[in-house]
Parts: sequence; structure tokens; C-alpha cells
Amino acid sequence: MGRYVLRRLLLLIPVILGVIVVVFTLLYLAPGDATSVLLGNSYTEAAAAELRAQLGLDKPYIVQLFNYGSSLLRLDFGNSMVSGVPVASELATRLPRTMIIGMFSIAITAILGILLGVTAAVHQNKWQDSLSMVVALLGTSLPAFFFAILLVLAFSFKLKWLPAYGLGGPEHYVLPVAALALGGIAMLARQTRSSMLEVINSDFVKMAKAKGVRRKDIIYRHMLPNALIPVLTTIGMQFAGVLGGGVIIETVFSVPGIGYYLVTGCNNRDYNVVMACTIIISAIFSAIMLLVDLLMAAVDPRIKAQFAGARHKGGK
Amino acid sequence: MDASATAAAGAPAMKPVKKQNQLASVMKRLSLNKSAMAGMVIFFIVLFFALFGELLAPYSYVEINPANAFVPPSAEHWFGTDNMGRDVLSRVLVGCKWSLFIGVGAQIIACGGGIVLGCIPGFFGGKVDQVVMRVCDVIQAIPSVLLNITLAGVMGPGIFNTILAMGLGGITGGTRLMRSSIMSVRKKEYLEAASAINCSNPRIIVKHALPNAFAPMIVSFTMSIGSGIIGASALTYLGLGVQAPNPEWGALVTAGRDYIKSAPYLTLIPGFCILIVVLSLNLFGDGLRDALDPKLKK
Repeated sequence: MGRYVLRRLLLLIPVILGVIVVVFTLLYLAPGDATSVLLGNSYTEAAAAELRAQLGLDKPYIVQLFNYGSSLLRLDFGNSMVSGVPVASELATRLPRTMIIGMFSIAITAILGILLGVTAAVHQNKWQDSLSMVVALLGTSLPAFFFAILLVLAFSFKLKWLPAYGLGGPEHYVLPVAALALGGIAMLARQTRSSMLEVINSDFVKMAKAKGVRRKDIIYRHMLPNALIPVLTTIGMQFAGVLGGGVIIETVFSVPGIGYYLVTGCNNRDYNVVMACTIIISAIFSAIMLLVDLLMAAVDPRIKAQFAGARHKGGK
Repeated sequence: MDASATAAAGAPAMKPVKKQNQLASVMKRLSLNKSAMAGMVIFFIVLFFALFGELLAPYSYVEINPANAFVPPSAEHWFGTDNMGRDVLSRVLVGCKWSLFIGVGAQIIACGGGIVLGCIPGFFGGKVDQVVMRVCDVIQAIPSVLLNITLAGVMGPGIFNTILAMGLGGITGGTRLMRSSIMSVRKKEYLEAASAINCSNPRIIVKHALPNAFAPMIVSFTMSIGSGIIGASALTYLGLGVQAPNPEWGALVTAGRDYIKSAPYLTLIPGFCILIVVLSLNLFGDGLRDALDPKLKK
């Protein structure tokens, strides 16, 4: 297991380097550069050229990429082109907020999604199943930002229970977390239902029933663990949904997290901010996916064996 | 003699009959699925509005009439009027075509790119496969919403840039899907037969491998139109997508947000329109997947 973990950790490095190259290249190719933002009204060709030389933007692509990469090694993400504040310090204050929202909504997604899926599967074709699947279908069809607006309309404006935007006490996190969790709950419920249905007729379930095991134990001790691998994969994929969707939700609720920072950066053409946010979120996502993979390898030895096999054959 | 004549007449007729059977059985299974049929009917209604919405619109969708602003839904203005006195029903009707156009356009780019990029590594394997897949790994390490936002941020707002951002962002997913389904048919006898009679590789891919590996792509195309519409409307909401005068539904939701307290219908109506379209596509896509998936045959 130790060697497997180490190998997977090492494989993370080229992926993150690749992300840096992709994101840098995208923004390098973007029309217009930072000079027009920085100079604003006092923009002249001469001033722009001078500023470019000063910022090193006149250097060839490969040199700029190398410079950016080496400054990333020192955790230096450059300064915001609009406010002049170092991006790294902004990230440090904003990251915890984004992570709190993300982690809570993943936790809620996992609990409610599995519960809904299990309920649907064990009551297949009864009203509980139909109701869960209608909820799941609505959840996948409702745009997250529109659901967030509906929540604000209901809980902030009509009922006046919860704040509509900004950050403060824990009550500020309720609506963003709920809005972010909906899509994941829907996906997970559907996945859990279908993988539970795959094991529901298997021999070990019949055996357990014949032994007279309690229904609850059959469901949670015999069926669920055997249906868990695709469910775990779906939860892992939900991190992408949560980290990406968080960008939208943070904007709806004006939560000063990384996502909101990214959107402001995009709207201001503040490329240092856009690059830093995209790279950080992707790196976190890759690390989480690695953790999920390791967790699955620990749960199911077949996965580890598969991976080792693929490597020996030169990969597939 | 009679018997041999019928056999001779029957033999050439066998092939097309068999082919029809396969399609017919898919269609039959699909038509038995009530929710898929409901989804299809709803989608055709939406498609009708997309095609003829502009003709059906009772008022001009751009004409500004400040004296008539914020009229709540009434007999005269079914969906009310917005902050500039424009008829919301007319705007929703015209916007329908744009929302669908974005969803479909983005998927054409994503699936088209995916088919081209996925066929080659799936068919040839080896080094090409390694390179394409490692590039996909890297790009998919960026959460898809984030990738779309970054692409849209780079290209700037506008309807075609939005389509491009959504489409380019979806290519890696399409590539992976196409590659795995091409790989599932790569070792089949009919491909071996085709290469035995000296078919060129491009011909084998296009004429033999692709048609047999296409079903998952069709399902993905159907299902992803909905998520494309959602994604594009989210980009618009963030200020990175479609711009103001265009009545695309995401833009209508975004414009209504400022008046959510006084005139919630400005946000709710286009939002529910998005919900209905995506719901219909999801219902139909689910049914299509079940109908095409031989594992679920009963």
C-alpha cells in the first residue's frame, strides 16, 4: 500500500504542472493584456510598451511560463492587477471560506444522497421510489444559481429566517451550502439507487434474509458496502461539482471566497487572479481525487491490483 | 422449385429486415417508457416555440416603453413587463431559440471534437492513446465549471464565445467517452473482416467502428444539451456569457435578479423555462439510454 500511495502522489506532480501550463497558455492567448487594465484612461502605446517591458510581458512565451512557474514555487502568485494586493494573501483569507462551504455541502450531499438512493432502491416502484427520483430529477434539472435565487426568495425575503448575502455567523453558510448540495444529492441518489438495485437480488442478500438478519442490517451491512464503490466514485466527482459550482454560488450570495474572487478577476481581466484561482482550485481538486482513489483502493483491493497490473503492462 | 424461389427471394430481404428490427426494438422500448415520451413531447413543444416564437410573440421583444414598466402578469401581458416595459412573454418566446441554440451548438462542438479526438486513440492505442489521454487527464483536473468560466473569461462575453467556451470545455469528456466505446468494439470480428478485405484505416473507423460505437455518444449528446443550457445561463449570470439585449433565458434571469423583491416573476418565469427544457431533455435522455443499453433489456 505504501508504494502505491507514493506512486500516486508522484503522479500528481505532472498533472498539476500540466494544469499550470494549460491555464497559463489559455491566458497568454487571451486577446488584450494586462496593460490596458493597469493603465486605464492613461493608456498610450508607448506607456503600454514600457509597462510590458517592466512586467516582463514582452519576453517570449516560454520564458514567461518559466518565470511564472518559478514564482509559483515560492508560492508567489503575483499581485492583483486591479488592486495591487498580493494574490497569495487574498487566497489565504478566502480559501477557508470556500473550503467550509465545499466540505459542508459534500457532507450533506453524501448523507442525503445515499439516504435518498437507499430509500428509493429498497422501496423500488413504490411511492418512496417515485418521490425520491422526482426530487433527484428536479435536482439535476434545476440550475444551481436559480435554485439559490429561489432559496433567497423563500428564506430571506419571504420568511426572513436567513441572510441573503455576505458573510458573518454560521447562519450565512446555510443557504450557500444548501444551494451547492442540491445537484450532488440528486446525482448521488440516482447512482446509489442503481447500484443498490444491482445487489438487491444477489445471493448474499438472499442468504442474509434466509438467516433472518434484520432488514436494517441487510440494507446497511450487506447491501450498501457492496454497492459502495460507484457511490464513492460519484462522491469524488461531486468535489468537482462543488469546487466549480461553488464559484457560481459564491457569486450569488456574495461570499468573498476564491470563486467570487475568480469571477471578479474574469470580469476585470485580472489575469493573475484568474490564473491563481484556477490553479489552486484544480490542485485542491486533484489532491481530493487522489484521496478518494486511495480510499477506494483501501476499501476494494481489486482497484489497487488493477492499477498495478496496468502499470506492469506499460499502462493502458 | 417453389421453395427455392421463396428462399432466393427471402435471402436478400433478410438483411434490411434485421437492421430495421434493431432500430425498431430500440424505438419500441423507448415508446414504452412513459417519462421518456413525456420528455420528448415537452421538448417538441419547446422546439416549436424556438422555431416560431418570434412570430407568436404578441409584442416586440426589444421595444422599450418606460410608462408600462413592472406590469405584473395580467390578461394583456401574460408574463408581465420588465423594468423597461418590455413584454416578458415575447422576450421568453424569442429567448427560447437562443437558449436551445447555445445548448445544441456547444454540444456539437464538444461531441464533434470528442468524436475526432476519441476515435484515433481508441482505435490505434499505443503512444497516440497515451498522449491524448494524459492531456485529457490534465484538462479534466480542472473542474468543468471552472474550465468553462476560465475559457469564457479569456474569450470575453458574447453568444458565440459562450457557445465556444461551453463546447471547448466539453471536448475532453466527449473524447473519453468516444475512446472507451471505440475500444469496446476494436477487437470485434467485423473490424478484423474489414481490415482483411483491405479497407483503409480511416474507412474502417468511419464506416465500421464509429456506427457501432455511437450509441453512448447519442445519449451523452441528448443529456448534455440540458447541462449546456444550465452552464451557459450560469456564465451569463456571472457576467461572462450572453450580453444584455439578447433575451436568452439565463440573461432574463440575470436581468430580473435586481428586482427580485418587487417583481419576482421576472426571475421566476425564465428560470422555470430553463427547468422545463432541461427536465424534458433529461427524461428523454434517461429513456434513450435505457432503450439503447442491452444490459437492461428484459
